[in-house]
Amino acid sequence: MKAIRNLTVGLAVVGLLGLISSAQPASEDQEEAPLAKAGGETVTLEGGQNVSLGELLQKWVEATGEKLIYDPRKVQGDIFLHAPKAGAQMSISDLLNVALGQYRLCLIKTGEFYEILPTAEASTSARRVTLEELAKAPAGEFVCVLVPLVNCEGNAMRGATQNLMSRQGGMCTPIGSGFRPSANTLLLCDTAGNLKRVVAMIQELDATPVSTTVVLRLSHARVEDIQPALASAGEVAGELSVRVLAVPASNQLIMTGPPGSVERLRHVVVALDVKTE
Amino acid sequence: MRAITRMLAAACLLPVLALAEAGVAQHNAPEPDRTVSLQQALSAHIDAAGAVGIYFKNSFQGEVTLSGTAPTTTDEKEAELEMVCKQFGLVPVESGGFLQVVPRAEASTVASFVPVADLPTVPPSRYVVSVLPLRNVTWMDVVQALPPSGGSSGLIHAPTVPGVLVHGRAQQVLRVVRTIAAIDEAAAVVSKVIRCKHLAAADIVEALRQSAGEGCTVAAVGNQVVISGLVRDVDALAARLAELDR
Repeated sequence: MKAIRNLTVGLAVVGLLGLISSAQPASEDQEEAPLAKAGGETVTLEGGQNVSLGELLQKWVEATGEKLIYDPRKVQGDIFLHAPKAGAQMSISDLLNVALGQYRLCLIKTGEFYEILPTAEASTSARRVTLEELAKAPAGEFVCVLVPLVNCEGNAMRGATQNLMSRQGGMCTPIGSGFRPSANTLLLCDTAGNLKRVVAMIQELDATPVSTTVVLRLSHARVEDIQPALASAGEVAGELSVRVLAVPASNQLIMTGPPGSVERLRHVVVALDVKTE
Repeated sequence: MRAITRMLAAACLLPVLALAEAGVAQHNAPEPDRTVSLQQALSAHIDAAGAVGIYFKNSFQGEVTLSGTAPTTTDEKEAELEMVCKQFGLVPVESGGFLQVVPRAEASTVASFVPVADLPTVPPSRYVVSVLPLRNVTWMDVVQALPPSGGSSGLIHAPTVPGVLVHGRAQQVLRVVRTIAAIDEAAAVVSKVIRCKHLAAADIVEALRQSAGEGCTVAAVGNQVVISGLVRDVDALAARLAELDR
């Protein structure tokens, strides 16, 4: 009787194991669908499906051969990938980076290993790249870059830039604004994709010279005669003033101020510097 | 016989006319309302544009009722997605090569940067950021002069740089940028040098100063008068000088 009972229990266990083993490949097949046909670092996405971070990490390791260390308990969750019916090819690294980004996480290389950090801590370990390297960096990689400023002051630019940085982990620090103003550089940390657009905007804002200096030698008029009129014309309310210095020894004028205003005064000088009868 | 022929012809024409009328009526009839979910709008755009969307499915739910014809082109589908997302305080943006849907408050941190010159070529509903350098006015001047946008687009807080960062739908950004450019242009300061023909410049300069508007300056050099200020003020003073110097 006991032997029959043992046999029945044994068969039940075998049946259960069989069910589990047959169920596992089926579920894997289902999850394979959105990341099918992986080739090298590129995957083909089709339709829409939830994909777990764990699966993406596994695919990334297989595709890149990189070493990864992480705590699976801290890196959990699904993300919905929605690809067009016609399919789309994506880099597995870009896919992983953007998926981790949804959970405010990022992939950072420390020594030989990659690890997964909260984006809030990313600036402490992010790779520093030059502006040239930034152009080639994968969009989702967290990096730091130095942006030298030519015309704008670092603190002033920071005020505008910090509203463009990622809410989690984006960092913008001016260097050399007070103690060493000559440095006048911004240190930016964020995903390479975001930094590319932020740097483009900074460069456009910084392209307009705030101040310029022009030296003019007069041919007919004396500088001391026209200097008061220029100083008056250079202090029009609502406009930044132009500093006008006269050098009587060489009959020259030195004008410093906003480029538009200096150019306006240069035309005034040309009009005044004429032969008098 | 002729009467019978006419009657037969009329009988044949009647159904044709009735069909044509029905067709016209059908054409003029308003399109039935459509219920569109966020997912449907997103799918339509993804299939048309070939983009890959990435988001949390559970937190991306909801539907709205839309009137009018269903979108057919890629741009129309993008516009419909933008409008549907807008009802939920969301914005679809392409970031890092993926289509993502973010809260409107965060849109400026991920929206594509589009130079002002390229704005007319971007689909009108796409969320973008543009930079417009300022020559004559400050960020604060612009903020005070611009009408409220109702939260659909806006200026990024940047009072200390010589330019403005405008974010919103490309169509709105283009409109705002053009308005700001006009404000900046109107504030341009000019200088005019006018040679006196009959009067001595030194005699007339004080009278001109007295009548000059605020922010306008007048100076005399030899027999010439230098007037500087806003275009309208300078033109007015130049006209007064011409009147006095007859």
